[in-house]
Amino acid sequence: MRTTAKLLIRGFGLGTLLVAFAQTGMAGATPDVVELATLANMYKPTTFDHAMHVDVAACAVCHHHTTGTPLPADSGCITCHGNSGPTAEVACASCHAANPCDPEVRQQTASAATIFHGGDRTGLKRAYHLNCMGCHKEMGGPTGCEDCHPKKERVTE
Amino acid sequence: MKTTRRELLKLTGLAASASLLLGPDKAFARTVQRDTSTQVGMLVDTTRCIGCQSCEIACSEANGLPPPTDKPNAGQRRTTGIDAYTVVNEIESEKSNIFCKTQCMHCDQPACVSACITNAMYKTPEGPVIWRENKCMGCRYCMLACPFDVPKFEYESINPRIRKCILCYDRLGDGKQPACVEACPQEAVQYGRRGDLLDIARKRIADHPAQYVHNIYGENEVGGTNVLYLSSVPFEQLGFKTDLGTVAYPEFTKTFLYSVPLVLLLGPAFMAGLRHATRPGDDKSH
Repeated sequence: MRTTAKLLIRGFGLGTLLVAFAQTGMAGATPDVVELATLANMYKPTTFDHAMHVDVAACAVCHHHTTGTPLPADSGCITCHGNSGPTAEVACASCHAANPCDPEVRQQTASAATIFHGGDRTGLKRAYHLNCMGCHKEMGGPTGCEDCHPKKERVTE
Repeated sequence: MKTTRRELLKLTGLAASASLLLGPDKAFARTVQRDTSTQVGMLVDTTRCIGCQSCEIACSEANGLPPPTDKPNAGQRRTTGIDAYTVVNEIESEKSNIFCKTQCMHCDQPACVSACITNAMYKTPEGPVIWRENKCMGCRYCMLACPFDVPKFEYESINPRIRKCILCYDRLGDGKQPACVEACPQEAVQYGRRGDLLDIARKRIADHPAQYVHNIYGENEVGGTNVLYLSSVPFEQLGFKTDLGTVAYPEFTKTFLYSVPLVLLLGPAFMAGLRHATRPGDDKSH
């Protein structure tokens, strides 16, 4: 076989293995650490200790009904999703738009039925701050800005 | 030319009816209704603001201004200035203090644009009201006209400019959002088409009727502004003027201004015609 062909086949094979390995980490298992880097204009990304929070809170506290275990108190979702199973995507960003005020995003969320519906869709940044800090205030966790994300080096004009 | 009383009355009646046909549309004040739903604007929900000043910092960075030096303080009313296009004020309230962001209201029919002699203050078709440096002559009529006291003048500068929020108009073309909107961690300030923002505001009130005053400030004030506000307390408590009325400010001067050319045209013509019609027959001078 020609060298190019061999290279391609090996490369493809290796790539498939890598992807497969990566997937085993995600599918079904909960990640230990999640890097929250979708929004990083004034602060650096947050390294979120997921493993610790799994011990401290029920899945539904953050993931609402998407993990298939909605809380009875979560009245906003329970009426329709009380018996819904887990969804394919449970990441916060899959339902809470990173850029909610972007006209295109608003257009998409207005018509999409699979993304969190409720008209006044909370964007990602607000969702993080409300959910995380709300609980932290009650439980005595970090509430300062830099407690969760250090400031970024600012580029001054 | 001798004439009869009848001829004179005919002439007068004709002139009057002709001027009425040409006149009333432009001569009489009427708040012009037009579709503002596609213009862009902002929705400020004062129940969500936590006074973090991220918006002020982001605005100062985006516009090359120094960062804010003071914090919102319930005892002091902060105002926008030449170095601060937006400021957050803290207002004392029973439950917890309320924070309110202030900046240019980007009116649909701005008083500043109407007052500007050189068209430096300009209402863009997209919605934001901008100031054009190459046209300004520094008369500050815009400052006098604005009911919200927004434009600020660089008195100390040898080449003074008018400074105010322009809704990041230079960034909007690149598909970006106003810097303050991007920065807000609580989505207290949102950006979008005015029609969409009104829908969101109405829905928010409808979903949480006890939390909000059932009024969107800016929906109808001075003919409608592109920056809209929601509040849990009456707007006067937040420092908003609630006696501005719903007539757009330019409408107050339109009656007079638009009738000037008409009067200057018809007045002399009418007077001349009257003189011509009423002079004695033997008087050859006009």
